[in-house]
Amino acid sequence: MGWFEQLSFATPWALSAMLVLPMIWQLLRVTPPKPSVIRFPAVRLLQELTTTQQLATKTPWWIILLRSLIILCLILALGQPMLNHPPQTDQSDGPLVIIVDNDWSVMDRWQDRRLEINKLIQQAKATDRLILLIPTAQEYLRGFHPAADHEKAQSTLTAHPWPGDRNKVLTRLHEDIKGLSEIPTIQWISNGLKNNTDDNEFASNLHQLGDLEIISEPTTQGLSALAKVKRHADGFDITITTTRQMTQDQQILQVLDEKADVLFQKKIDLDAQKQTHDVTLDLPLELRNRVDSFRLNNRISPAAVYLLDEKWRDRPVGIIDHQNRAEHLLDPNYYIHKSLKPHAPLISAKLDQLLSRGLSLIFQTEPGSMSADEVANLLNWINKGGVFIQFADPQLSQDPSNPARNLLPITLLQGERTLGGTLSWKQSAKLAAFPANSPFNGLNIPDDIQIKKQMLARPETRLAEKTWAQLEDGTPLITAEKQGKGWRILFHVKAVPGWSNLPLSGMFELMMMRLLSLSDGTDFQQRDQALPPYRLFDQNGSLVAPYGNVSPLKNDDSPVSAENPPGLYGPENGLHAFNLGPKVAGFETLSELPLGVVQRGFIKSQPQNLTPWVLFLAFILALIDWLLALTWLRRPQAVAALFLIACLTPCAKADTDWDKALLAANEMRLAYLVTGHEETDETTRRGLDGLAAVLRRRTAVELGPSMAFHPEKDDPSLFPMIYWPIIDAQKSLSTQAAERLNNFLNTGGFLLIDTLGQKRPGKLANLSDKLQIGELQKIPDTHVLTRSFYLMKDFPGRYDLGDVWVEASNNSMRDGVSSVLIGNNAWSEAWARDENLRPLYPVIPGDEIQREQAYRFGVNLVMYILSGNYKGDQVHLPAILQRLGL
Amino acid sequence: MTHKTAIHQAEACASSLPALLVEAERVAATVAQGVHGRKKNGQGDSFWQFRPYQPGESTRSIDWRQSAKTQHHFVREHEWEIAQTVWLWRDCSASMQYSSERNLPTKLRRAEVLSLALATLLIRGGEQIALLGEPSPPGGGRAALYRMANLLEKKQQSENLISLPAHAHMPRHGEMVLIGDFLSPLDDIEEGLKRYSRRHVRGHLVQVLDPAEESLPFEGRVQFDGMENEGSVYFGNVAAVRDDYHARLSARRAALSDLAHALGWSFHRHTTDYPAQSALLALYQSITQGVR
Repeated sequence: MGWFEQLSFATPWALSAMLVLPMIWQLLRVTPPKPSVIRFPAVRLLQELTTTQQLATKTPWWIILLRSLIILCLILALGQPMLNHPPQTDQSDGPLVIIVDNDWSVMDRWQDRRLEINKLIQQAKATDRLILLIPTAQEYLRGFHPAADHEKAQSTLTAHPWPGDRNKVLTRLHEDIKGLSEIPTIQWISNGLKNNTDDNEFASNLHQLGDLEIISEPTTQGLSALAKVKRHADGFDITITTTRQMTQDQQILQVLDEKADVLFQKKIDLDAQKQTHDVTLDLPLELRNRVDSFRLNNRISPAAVYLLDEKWRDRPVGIIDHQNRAEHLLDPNYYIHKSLKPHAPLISAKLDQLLSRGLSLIFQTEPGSMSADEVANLLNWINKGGVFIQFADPQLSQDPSNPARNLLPITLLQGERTLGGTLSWKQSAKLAAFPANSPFNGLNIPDDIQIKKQMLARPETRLAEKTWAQLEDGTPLITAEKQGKGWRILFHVKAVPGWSNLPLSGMFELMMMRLLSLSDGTDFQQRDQALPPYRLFDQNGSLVAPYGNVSPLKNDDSPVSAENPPGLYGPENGLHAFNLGPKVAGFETLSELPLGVVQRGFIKSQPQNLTPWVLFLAFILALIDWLLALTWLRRPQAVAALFLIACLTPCAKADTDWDKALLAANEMRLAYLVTGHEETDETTRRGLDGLAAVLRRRTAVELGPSMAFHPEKDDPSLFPMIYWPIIDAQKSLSTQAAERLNNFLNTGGFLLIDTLGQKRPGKLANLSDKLQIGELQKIPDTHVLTRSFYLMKDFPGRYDLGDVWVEASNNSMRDGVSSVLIGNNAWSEAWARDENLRPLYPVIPGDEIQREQAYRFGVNLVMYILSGNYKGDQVHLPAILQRLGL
Repeated sequence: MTHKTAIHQAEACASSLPALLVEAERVAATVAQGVHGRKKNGQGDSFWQFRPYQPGESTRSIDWRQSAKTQHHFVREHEWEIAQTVWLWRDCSASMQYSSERNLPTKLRRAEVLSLALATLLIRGGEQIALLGEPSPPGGGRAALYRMANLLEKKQQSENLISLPAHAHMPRHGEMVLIGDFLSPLDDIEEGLKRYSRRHVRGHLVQVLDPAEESLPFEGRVQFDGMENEGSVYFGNVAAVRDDYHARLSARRAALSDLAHALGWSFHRHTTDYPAQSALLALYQSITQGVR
């Protein structure tokens, strides 16, 4: 009953006219058909006769049926049948509230929603209802208005790449409804999700306000977000959140570079009944460095795209390799390695090697002996933007002539301070809060960090500025000084647990990461400023220039909203990615609806008025009726023929290969007729290519590679000449193909028929049977072919058999130019050469002079084809005579 | 259909019969030589008499063999032998263009085949033929046959409503064959035929009818339209008038037969579902043996 259910009538009362049908039926039965009319010679005799007898006539049943059908169709047309007419769900004309979720999750499903809104508004317009249209993710017109006011607003309504705020909608709706006398109908075009956990009650709250109908897809299959991306040593750990799946699903995770080219993709099987899925991507280092974003399945949704920003970029870190290598846990480099490995590629090498590698950070954990040159190079590198981090060492404070002291941000006091030692009163110190100017500002300081030893800085005026971390007593723990574009940073402790347990704590890793982000030149202080928007997702899920009233991004924790759409923020050289995926809360599908709430899907198809079709059908039936009345008795065949004509659509024609036609049309090529025998075809192709090469070298004719010509499929008119080798296995031409070839020959084409050494093969007559080839003659001595380029007497090919026939030149239609040449010298075999330009076949009986003659014949022939009997003109005679020595 | 095929058909039809010699007591006065001796001297092949040479006659006319037997000079005279001319006519009016079934020839076609077959036989017998109502003179030999076939074909193309022979000039004692359906009013037919018989023309009538005209095989409510602007007639039930129609047709045929006999002519009936030979044989007999 599929479509029948979607059939409805605009004016159903008109169908009551069907009651008249039996009456018409009766009427048709009573009204007799016209008497048959017969022409009769002996009518004079008949005229003298009379009879009053009337035959009780009967109309044939099929005529009655046909005419009843016509009437039926007309009545149906009066009823104005509609297909997919939207059902009138509620007939009330009270106010209508349309709530539509136009958030990020419906961006690729927006078209359905737009049509649905349009449909609802049109329906409301028809019944003069007041409408309140509420898009949840944007500001809207408050209060109830006539449908016409919404039509324009509705056309500009789109989905937005941020979540909607249903709570706000609910409170506002309360206010708007307060003034109403009637209970409104509420149509909620939902995204199918509970946006927040406290949204559970949204549906029931709405239902309390009015009759709620929820319009949504039956499932939210495939809706997913990239919730988390984390780097590990060999790639990325990615967490995908999805709606609860009913079935196993498969999505494709793509890794894109900054031009949005796909670097890598992976199919991910999403288990049913699981909402978070962890994926591990292992990428080679080269690809990892180019990663710009992740994307799921080509979905149009900002949640399915995870942008990476500057802080994700790999910054190679160098660690100066020192010679006295200690065991694992005592080696200071070990802790740096441990903490930085997931975040950056690490290189351990000598200083001069590191400097040549273009690194952004260099760690020095143990002060080796540095020469003055090395220090100067290092300073130079720092000036250009390098970040040099060194850890405390008593040697630095002891030797005042050590050039490495220039690398310190402060001046160190001699010796170190020991806290909480056996003879000390003081307990081991703890870290104070980070100063505001520190890049570590904002890190939570764990309670258990203890500093036992520390180098002390000589007090100076700018010490406080230079201090990035200090102990509770105010002594600096980390100091830094800007130099040029780079930084010199000193940890006043060693990078081994002996001095403090800092290298063991998790904070050490965080601090290292902060240091990493220093290296890109972005000043950490910008992080505190609000970041201006740079590129934002639009309603199509693509990144565009900032739009609307977007405000700068204050910090990462601010919610994704109209003020802060997801996208890239910050200055162009230090972009910060603001991703939607991690902020998506509540991937729960809408369920447990309160009683009385109607839920339905979208009606995809447009309503279609069937009236013209029904009228057309009635017309066709009437036409058939008329035809039958006219011709049925006399010419059943005519009717059958009419039916045949009407029913039979022209059969599919053999399609032309357009690519091939284009190739052939774009360059002049010789063609060979495909015989079906592979070796022959290959030889002919090579032969024509060989001839083309000779032509290119010796004449102005530049031919493309030769082409196969299928007589049944291809258009011959694109080729100047078709070479037709005759072999026994060939099939004869179809009438169509022969007609095409005839047309080709009559309009200036040329057919070179070669029997390949056979003397008068019977096949030739058979094959060329349908071709309109004129009277043939042996090539006379004065024929243009003998002098169109070279002067030649005979036309040998692989054989020198002599019989070469052309059309007799008394053909005035083509200016006496023959369109056919028939011979048995197997020219193509003489022309054919292999890849190394060596001839494929020996010539018989002669030597290479005969092959040269064969080529000359080919040149003459192509010249003849292209220029006709131009060389036959008397103008050339003196020159020719002179060359002949006469 | 070209006249060639018509001739072929006619010759095939005539092939089973010997040459046709008109049994003529009195032959229409023509000058064409033929086989009908006039019992007086004149041009001809048969010996008539010897008569004495009279001075003034050409000496070439003297029969030397006879003269040598006697003392006198004799002149050999031949009997005047002339050919009888048969005027053929076939009705080419619209009503003849009728055949009730696809595989039956039209009446006109059958009439033409009959005419030509008759002509073939006559020519084979040395008689002359002519088409009644045509200005071309009578002729013998195959040329005349082809000429006639041409004429027949030409006339066939023109739609004609007159179904009676035009009153054309015919020599006395001529012989004529009229082939048609003779469905026009009887009075007209009678007047037309009598006009000829007054000139001592001997005639043969062949009524060619379609089997449908004989049996009126139609059923139900039918409106019959005439083919020569006679108007139309409608019957609520054709079956009811079928017997009456048969009676009328028989009456018409009897009247025609009586008329023919009264004039001393012959009358034959023919339906197109019979082979043409049957009609041809009847005609042949009545022409060779004279009117019964």
